[in-house]
Amino acid sequence: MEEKDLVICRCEEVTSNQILGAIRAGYISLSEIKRRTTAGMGLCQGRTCSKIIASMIANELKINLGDIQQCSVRPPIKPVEIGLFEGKYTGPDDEMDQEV
Amino acid sequence: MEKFITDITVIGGGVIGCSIAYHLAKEGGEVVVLEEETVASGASGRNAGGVRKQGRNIHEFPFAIESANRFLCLNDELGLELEYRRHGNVQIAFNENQMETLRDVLNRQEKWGFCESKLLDRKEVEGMVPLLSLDGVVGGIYCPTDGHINPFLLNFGFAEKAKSLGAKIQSHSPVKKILLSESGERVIGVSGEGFEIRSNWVINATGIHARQLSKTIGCDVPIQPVTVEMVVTEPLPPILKPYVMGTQSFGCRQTMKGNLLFIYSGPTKVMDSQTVSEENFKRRIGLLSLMFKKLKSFSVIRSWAGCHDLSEDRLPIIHFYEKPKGYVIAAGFSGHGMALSPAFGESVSETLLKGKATLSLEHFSLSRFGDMDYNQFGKGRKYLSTAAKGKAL
Repeated sequence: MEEKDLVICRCEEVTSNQILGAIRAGYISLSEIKRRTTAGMGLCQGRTCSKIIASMIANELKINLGDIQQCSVRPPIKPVEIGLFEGKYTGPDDEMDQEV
Repeated sequence: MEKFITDITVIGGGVIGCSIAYHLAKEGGEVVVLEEETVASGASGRNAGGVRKQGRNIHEFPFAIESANRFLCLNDELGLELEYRRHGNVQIAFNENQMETLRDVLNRQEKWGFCESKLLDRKEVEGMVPLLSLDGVVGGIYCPTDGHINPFLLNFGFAEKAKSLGAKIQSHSPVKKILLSESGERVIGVSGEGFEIRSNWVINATGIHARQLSKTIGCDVPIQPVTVEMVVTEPLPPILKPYVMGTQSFGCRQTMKGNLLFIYSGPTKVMDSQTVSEENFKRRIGLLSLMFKKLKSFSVIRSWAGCHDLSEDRLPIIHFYEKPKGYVIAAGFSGHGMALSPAFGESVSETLLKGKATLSLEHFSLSRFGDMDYNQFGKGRKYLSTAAKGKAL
């Protein structure tokens, strides 16, 4: 894979060499790799690439795929249009004032 | 049991801990960073990345200036593209009261000789933030030499450079105990599951955890966690240059990849959760659709929450204890840590290694709180009292 620098995270255009570089620099979890390279931060939120990245970590560290911690899932599960939430704003949080 | 000896132990691998470690290692300090999870996994890893000088408190101001100067050459220094952009900082007023506060900020800064900020009228705000629905906007202030940075890369940059200079950074190593000498006069190290480290200095840079950890050796600090929530949109073409701050403790910026990042600080309920509740998610995006009507057809792809360490007066707490000697608190950054990390990291390092820093940390010691009862902080009164705010300004 090193000879061919493949795109692993298509949403963020992160390549295999970038990910391998991060793993070899000591970033050995999905969340670390995400913050360091942005792989998994895009439109699909890692739905496609996180499995490949997990295998790359497992391969590189010679550990079981099952031992790799999954990245946390945060809402929304799939992209939602901002316009759907019109009228949902119920006023400011109490007791906080603006910081300047 | 892994046992070793070092000169300085830093607890916390966030941007403050790593900046301190980098500046120490650069000057030949022997330093170990212990991080309970991984580098940039706490507040530094859930950060918006605003970098500003305008609107700073008088004591923080020199640190903001110094940090802004440092950011200009930090890519070369750390060997990493940190995505620092001097695209300005805009603060928006939505009523006459807020506008008056912003005018005061400008007058105050001009008295300090800082004249880079200027007033914006409604039309100029529109020019700077073209997506904003102008209902209710009165005006704002703008500082062109402020901007934003990729907060994760800044944190990783400090950590990686510190490592290459000989610092040791240990992930997944939560500190359970700060060890004191028999008399309790000084610190002698730290311990956790499977490790014990002997050191002359112990620096507590654990953000929201600083208080709890500090209390285990009887040193209370007036810090409380406050939740910040973020939502991020799909990538858009470049449309927003400055970092924008507005009412309801609301902020936004566009990342280098094009995503719009919105930050809301403010729920008074302290949450441990790192996930935005369904109710808040609807409210936050509801506000977004109100303020940015032109964004309606774009999508939100992710939301998350985090906590930052709010100090009583919203200023960092940097305290070198006399007893136990060798113990240092560097926490309570109140959401200002990322932007001020280069200058504060350097000053803590200088104070520790040379006994004196170019930018004095004197004002940031705990003595500014006098004999205040730290347990009263945040209880039975407005979250930030008018008195505390007056002091902060």
